[in-house]
Amino acid sequence: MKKPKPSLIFSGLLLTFILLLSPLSHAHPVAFQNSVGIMGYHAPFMSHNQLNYSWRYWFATGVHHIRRHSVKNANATLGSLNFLLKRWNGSGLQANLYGVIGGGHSEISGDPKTIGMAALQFDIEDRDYYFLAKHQQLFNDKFTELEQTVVRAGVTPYIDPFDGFHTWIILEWQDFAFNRESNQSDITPYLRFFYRNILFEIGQSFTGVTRFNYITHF
Amino acid sequence: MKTIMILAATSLLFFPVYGKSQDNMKQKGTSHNHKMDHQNHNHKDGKAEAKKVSPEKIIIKVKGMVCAFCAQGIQKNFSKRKEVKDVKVDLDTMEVTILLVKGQILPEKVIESVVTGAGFKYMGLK
Repeated sequence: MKKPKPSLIFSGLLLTFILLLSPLSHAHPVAFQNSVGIMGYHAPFMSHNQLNYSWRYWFATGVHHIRRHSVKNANATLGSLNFLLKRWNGSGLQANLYGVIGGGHSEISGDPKTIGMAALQFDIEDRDYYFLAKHQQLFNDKFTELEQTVVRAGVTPYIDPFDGFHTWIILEWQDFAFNRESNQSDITPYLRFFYRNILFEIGQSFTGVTRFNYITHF
Repeated sequence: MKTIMILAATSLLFFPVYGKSQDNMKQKGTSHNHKMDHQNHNHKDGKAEAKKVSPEKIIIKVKGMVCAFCAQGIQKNFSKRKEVKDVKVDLDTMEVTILLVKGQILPEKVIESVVTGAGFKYMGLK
């Protein structure tokens, strides 16, 4: 039996590392045709992981797991339909409008509920700048379990070729509220790195919240 | 600046970034593709003798291709076609260069559908 290559072992360890840290990234919910995307957002109070399969460049299906760390046994599992509602392919820029709808099951301290999910996202970028705005909600028949609004803007300090190592500096404003609790908002500077099909971001908000996001598609 | 950023990224992960060579064309040219090698080799007395391949080159123009992470789909979907030997994406010129396996053809309709399937706008052959 052949010994596995060190690069394969490393790739496996990297994937395990990423999945264990488990984070939702504010990434494209639909990627290229016949692709699988895995992405996550991780903060001390919440994590959101998702797995998407893009059937077409404009349509994907996804499964999500959302967990609120600050409350015991508070998590949600959902399925979603992700749509690229409109894309503008320009000379040197691209803009996208996405819509996501879904449904599933949530449980907060042993209280199971059927929930729905809806999200709308707009992003625009060229090779130097990037902007994204997103709003998403998880709701049951009585109230909104999670409401989250994210606005982010980024700039790259250098431009590398297609196969290069890419870096972005991103500033994110986020506002969120759980279960009719009062809204919390913060601003987080991020560093985003990507090489080929692996992307990760790490940031710390001005209120001291560390966030880690990842995306990969293949 | 790039070096600093790479060092920062690797430090954050506490381990080095492994990866393939940035020069994909060069790398693919030196790696062993068994299927392709069999197409281009003469097996005599158990020894493989390489034939020179002069693939045809196609350059296409693509609109909207600004993000290297998002444009991976173009490279991936062209690369998995049997007619294609190699693919190079240039975000500066918004061009994709496709090297074909000798004797193979890639109809323009197929090229357009791969570009469209990746979510970009096909602007024609150069």
